[in-house]
Amino acid sequence: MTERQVLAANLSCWHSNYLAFVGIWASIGLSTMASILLYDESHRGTPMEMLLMALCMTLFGLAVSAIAFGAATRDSRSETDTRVEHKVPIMASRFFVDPVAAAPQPRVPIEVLLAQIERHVRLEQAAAESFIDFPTSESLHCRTMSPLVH
Amino acid sequence: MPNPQPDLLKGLTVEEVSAVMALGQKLNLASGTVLFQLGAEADRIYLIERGRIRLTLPMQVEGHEEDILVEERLPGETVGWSALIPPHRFTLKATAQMDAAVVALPQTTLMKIFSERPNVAYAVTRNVAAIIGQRLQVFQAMWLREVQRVVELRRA
Repeated sequence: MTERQVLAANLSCWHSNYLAFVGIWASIGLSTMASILLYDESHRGTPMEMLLMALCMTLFGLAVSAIAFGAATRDSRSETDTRVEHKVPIMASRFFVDPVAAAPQPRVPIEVLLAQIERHVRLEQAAAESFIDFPTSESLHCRTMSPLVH
Repeated sequence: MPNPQPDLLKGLTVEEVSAVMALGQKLNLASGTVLFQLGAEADRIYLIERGRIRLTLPMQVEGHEEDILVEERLPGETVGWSALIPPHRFTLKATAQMDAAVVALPQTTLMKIFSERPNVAYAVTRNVAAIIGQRLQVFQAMWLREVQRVVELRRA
């Protein structure tokens, strides 16, 4: 999973929480307004009855909202978590890894590898002896044809 | 075809060369014979008369210890100069790459003739210094080339 995908998943989670939060307060407000309206329409109860009705409606709205909030947050979190767990691979740190060495190399038979090492040593020795005969920076760092290097 | 004068005995007179060679023992080696092992006590120095001697060091290759070629010595050249230099332990393994013949000079008898004939000791010591110095320069250059590659790889 890329960083962009993880960010999108997090944004989706925050969006669900925000909606649930707004839903709670909206339901509380609506139930309170409904109880006031019911009381105004009937005019048959005492202020205590109005208060109890408002309290009951508020508790009912709160319970419904709590259930909705729980369902919304549980779904979104579990989805996000499973997505992150299953899709984000654990990447090994590659900062100190040589990209050439990290790349999968084709398997070379050991006999071939030993022959390559021997050829490399012979070429390097010849280059070093050439440097001793004519010691210059160019002869010291002359390029090799060794297959171990290329 | 006469053998070239061994590099160890350069600068000696014919008589002195004969005197030193008379101390030695000729060994015929079949291909693959190990002349000396890494870390073994170096009690003899060898002058190659025929064939080719591989000098190797062990290296781990894919989980196996393999003898990796470090140097190759040809007729007229010397192997086993650790016999003359303390702590008298071979620092390489020597193997005959093909059928070969060497003259083995025991360290004790060489030291005896050195004490009796200082001019022989001086010439041989100079020759050993030249052999060691050449090897040092070669490996110094090889080492620097490898360091250069490591640096280039790191910067890539």
